[in-house]
Amino acid sequence: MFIRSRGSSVISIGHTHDHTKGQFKIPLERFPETAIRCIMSHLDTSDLLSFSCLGDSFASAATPFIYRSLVFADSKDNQSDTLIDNYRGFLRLVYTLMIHPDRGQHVVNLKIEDNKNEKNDIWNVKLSEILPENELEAMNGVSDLTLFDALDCLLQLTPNLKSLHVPALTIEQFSNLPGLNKVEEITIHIRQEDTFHELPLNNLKRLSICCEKNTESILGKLAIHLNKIGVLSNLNSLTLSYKQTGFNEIPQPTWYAFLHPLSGKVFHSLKDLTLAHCQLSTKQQYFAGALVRTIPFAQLESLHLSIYESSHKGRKHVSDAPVLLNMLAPHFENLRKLIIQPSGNCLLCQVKSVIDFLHLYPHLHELCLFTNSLNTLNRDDLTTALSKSKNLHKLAIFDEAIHLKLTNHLKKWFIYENMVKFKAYDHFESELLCQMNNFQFEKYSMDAFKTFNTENANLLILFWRKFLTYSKSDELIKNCASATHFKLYGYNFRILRSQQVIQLYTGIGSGYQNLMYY
Amino acid sequence: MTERKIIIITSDGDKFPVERKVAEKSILIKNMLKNLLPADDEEEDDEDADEPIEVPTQNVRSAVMKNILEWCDHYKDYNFPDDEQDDDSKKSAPIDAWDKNFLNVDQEMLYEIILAANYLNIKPLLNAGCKVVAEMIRGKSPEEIRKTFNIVNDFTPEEEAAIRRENEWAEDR
Repeated sequence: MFIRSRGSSVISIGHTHDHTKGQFKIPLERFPETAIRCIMSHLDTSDLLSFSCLGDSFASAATPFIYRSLVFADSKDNQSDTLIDNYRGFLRLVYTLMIHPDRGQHVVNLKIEDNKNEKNDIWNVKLSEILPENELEAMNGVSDLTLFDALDCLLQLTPNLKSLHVPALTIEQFSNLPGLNKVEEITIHIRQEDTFHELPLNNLKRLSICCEKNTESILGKLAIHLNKIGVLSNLNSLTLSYKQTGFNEIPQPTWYAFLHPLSGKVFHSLKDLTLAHCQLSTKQQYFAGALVRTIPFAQLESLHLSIYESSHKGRKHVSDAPVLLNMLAPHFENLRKLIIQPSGNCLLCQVKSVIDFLHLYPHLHELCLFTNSLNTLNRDDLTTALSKSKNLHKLAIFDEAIHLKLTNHLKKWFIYENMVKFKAYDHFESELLCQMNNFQFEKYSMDAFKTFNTENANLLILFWRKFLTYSKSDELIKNCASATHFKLYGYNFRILRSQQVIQLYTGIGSGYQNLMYY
Repeated sequence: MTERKIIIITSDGDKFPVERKVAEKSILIKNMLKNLLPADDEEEDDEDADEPIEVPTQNVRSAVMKNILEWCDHYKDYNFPDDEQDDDSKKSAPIDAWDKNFLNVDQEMLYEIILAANYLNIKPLLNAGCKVVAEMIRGKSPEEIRKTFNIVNDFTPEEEAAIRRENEWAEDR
């Protein structure tokens, strides 16, 4: 068995003479441990679960991988009881860990998404409301316990937990959880009705705060408290985001209340900053000055800006209007990764500010740009500016001016010219929306999009051969001389410069396929 | 100064002359050579300078070595990034089309390539090989996986049911 073959990493070859070539089956149980670990790192949880049913040794090898990251995602469908189903799964997990406490040591990451019920105080719900009667009977005397008690129990059983994302918890509930001092990564959601409590997050490295309006006082107290216990100086990553509570609510500059009480630069280790849905309105100058005073931009390696700003009054473009990015630019020294998302600003100000920025700071390794380039002239300027970024490895561009054309061309190509059933929403637009929230290179998000691309890979390649030239994206790919990976308008491309070929990624099974030689 | 020749000797005695950068795709051989050869830019007065260096690899037979060297030759000018990726990006990264085609061999050869890549310490090739095996597992039921790999079930039905019950929490996700 591979578990026992640790000492001899290679098994003598030549034992297979009895097998004809076609009948030989890979003896998985004799694989070296490194290879088994490597195989499992490529598998999803459902496959790991099947794997663990193969036999004793397989089960013990798969266990650390199954328990490493526990993610209870928001259910995709909107049935009313899916929420409870989700928490039932969570309770089963806690129960399993109580029976097998040794497995708790493998848990590193816990994430329970619950966007729908953040306000419903779900953690105070009693188990008697969640568990079916037969299970309640089996687990004697738990009916009065709450979900929070179960979470408390889980944290006691997971000594190596490093990352905790349970946004539905209040600060008070967080403060009552055991073992917060071992957590290195946390998401805290601050609501209007919350009250401040101290959090012993002494080993925190990555902090994500999501605040609602009217939470300035708690944000300020939290900042002062975290600074006092030395957390802020050890932070590698900080995310400040604003959450609208009403559909029509205009985002407020509430986020800044976390930075305001901090005098001088306290973030000695900060490398990664995200400002999401943060309102600046016309006060860029004020906020730029304030940010420079607290954030050590010179040491920052990664910046994600998704802010609301107005460079000028009215809709008519004013040249040389102030834009936050360019006010911060002179302070960057080590910035390698930049993500820019729509700012609510004048579109021309947005795209021009990025072009100016790239001329000013050509040192990025990775750029993700969500924009509306408006016209070919701007796109050409953008290509020129990007081609001067000599260190760029990865480039992602989402461009509304292209997306509309792309949708029309995709429809025309698949539906009218090739009679293939193509649904713009399922096969392109929802993927785009998904990626705008969480984009990754070399990956597609939606199942429908993936399946469609895999099934129609050949047609897709023919399509992109034309559209890449039409949108001048081939020029862009060729001219970014140092970049190898591209995500353009939702699709993944790669260029192999030694072979002078641009490739399109069509799916996990088929990988990259040649698109065009140049 | 001309580069010293490197000859890889397989378990069945075949000899493969290769360029140094091809051989050095194997970290095992690279470390071996580091001790035998000075760095490229250093002056070499050794009188054996013309003698080729023979590298024995006891665990890899000739047919497998031929494949391994083809892979190493293909990637000789490519620097692989450090293997410090997080799990998610590793999981999602697609298998390279060339690798996929290269590894489109019978199971016996695939098995031997993976073992050899592990022994010779060629991480990107091991990774690619394991990815192909992972693809053979993906989406299959335990019974189908057993069939694919001829695995004898050492669980009793009760044990298997217990394992399934314990994992129920994850199946809901």
